[in-house]
Amino acid sequence: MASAIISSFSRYMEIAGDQVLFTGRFARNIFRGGFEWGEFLRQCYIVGYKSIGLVGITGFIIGFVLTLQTQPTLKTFGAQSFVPSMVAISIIREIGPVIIALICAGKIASSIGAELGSMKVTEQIDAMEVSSANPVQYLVVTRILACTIMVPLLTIMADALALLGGYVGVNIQDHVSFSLFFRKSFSALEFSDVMPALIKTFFFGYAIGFVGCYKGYHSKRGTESVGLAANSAVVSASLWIILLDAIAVQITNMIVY
Amino acid sequence: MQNKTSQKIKVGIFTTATILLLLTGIFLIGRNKSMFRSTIILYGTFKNVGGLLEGNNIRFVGINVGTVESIDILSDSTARVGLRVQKKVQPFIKQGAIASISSDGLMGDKLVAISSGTNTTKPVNDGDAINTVEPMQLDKVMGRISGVAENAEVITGQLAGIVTQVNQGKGSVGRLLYSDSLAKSLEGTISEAKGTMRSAHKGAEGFSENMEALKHNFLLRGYFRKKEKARVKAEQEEKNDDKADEKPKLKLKKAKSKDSTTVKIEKEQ
Repeated sequence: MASAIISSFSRYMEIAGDQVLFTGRFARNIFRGGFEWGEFLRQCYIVGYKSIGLVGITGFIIGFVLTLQTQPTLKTFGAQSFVPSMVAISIIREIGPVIIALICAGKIASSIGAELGSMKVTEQIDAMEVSSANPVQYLVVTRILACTIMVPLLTIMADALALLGGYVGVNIQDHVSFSLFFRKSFSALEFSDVMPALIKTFFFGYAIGFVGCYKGYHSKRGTESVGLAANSAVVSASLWIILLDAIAVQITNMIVY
Repeated sequence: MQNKTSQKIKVGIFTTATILLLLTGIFLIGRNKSMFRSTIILYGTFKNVGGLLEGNNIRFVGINVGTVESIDILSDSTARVGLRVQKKVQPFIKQGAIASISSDGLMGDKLVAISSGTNTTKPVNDGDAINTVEPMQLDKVMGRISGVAENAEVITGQLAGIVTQVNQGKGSVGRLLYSDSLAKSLEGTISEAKGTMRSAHKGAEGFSENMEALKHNFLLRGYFRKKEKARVKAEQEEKNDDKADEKPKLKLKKAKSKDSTTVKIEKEQ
């Protein structure tokens, strides 16, 4: 029993140490020179541009539904004029970044995990290492950086569409002019709402790329390990997003308030 | 290669569009905090700012014209509030303007209201200090209300004492309400008054008979006849006047009825 605990603990520490080493390799390879711009742009296209539809629809519907859900409650308090402010604050601060990151974890982390996993299984990564090409620089750095930059951009787009969805949601029951809705939304927002939310999306993006790459790069040999890598990439990335969110809110409250 | 170029263009468009969205959002938020407009600063010192926060709105004639920039403690009983106000309202804020702290709506967000004070015509300059009015403090108001409540308690206590005495039939009010003797004596007084009235009536009848006899007396007959003639004459004149007045009135009535019918017709048309 004791030995089992010790061995599982040491196994856990091994994984943790491996991840730290992987982060180090990633960081070293960013500045090594010969940055793969072409591959980076291709990854930006796959991660960012190809997700616009999914993220856009999600964002719009979140704003729409959130408005319809809060409106009756606020109506009972006679505080209906607070609907735009409330929707704006809740979307920009919390719901937008987290939901979009989780959606992206499902779409991007799984595809990266499966892609790198199958490359590992078919020994393409080993071949690259043998032929003195740098697989980390070519495969890992470009993907992680593409995720880190594209997820915040996707979140901004989703936030904007969610506010638009909120406007549509309000206009189903009442009539509020476009400018009044957005004036109210933005008058409730502060820079202390927008900036921490924006900064944390960079970490979400990094977590998505990193977990996807790590799980794919370190998958075992065998066909089923590709599916395992994709699956565990999504699960771990989602978990990391929630954990990072919990940490981010503490730091934000410490700094801002 | 063609494919790669189109990918690059798409990524470029997406990135530019989202960054523009972000910048628009930042600009819109900043505009509400009057960050990208030319502004002036005014100062007001208060003994108590009543929970005012940096970033609260400033209103001038009910319009949001700026935000509270800073709140510094000057001494143990004064705080200096820096008011960041848009430059375009500067000409309207005169040097005698008064700043007061009030709250906005039910949710109780504090705000600074600037009201035009004395009739000086000079507008304020950047960095001026303006007059202030201390905010109404709820605890002081509550203190006064409790004083009022104490007074009310004393008054109601005394009132209760009076009412119990009245209930016991003490005092003139109590006797009025609860003792029969007063009512009985009042009844007696009224019946006596009736008798008095009857005798007075008889006296008045006798007096009028005397007067009638006097009218027929030859000494006074002439005076009464003259009076009667004057009365008859006045009545006849009145009748003539009435007839003269009625004729034009009738004409007017006819004219009016015509007008109304024509108006009706016009409406129908």
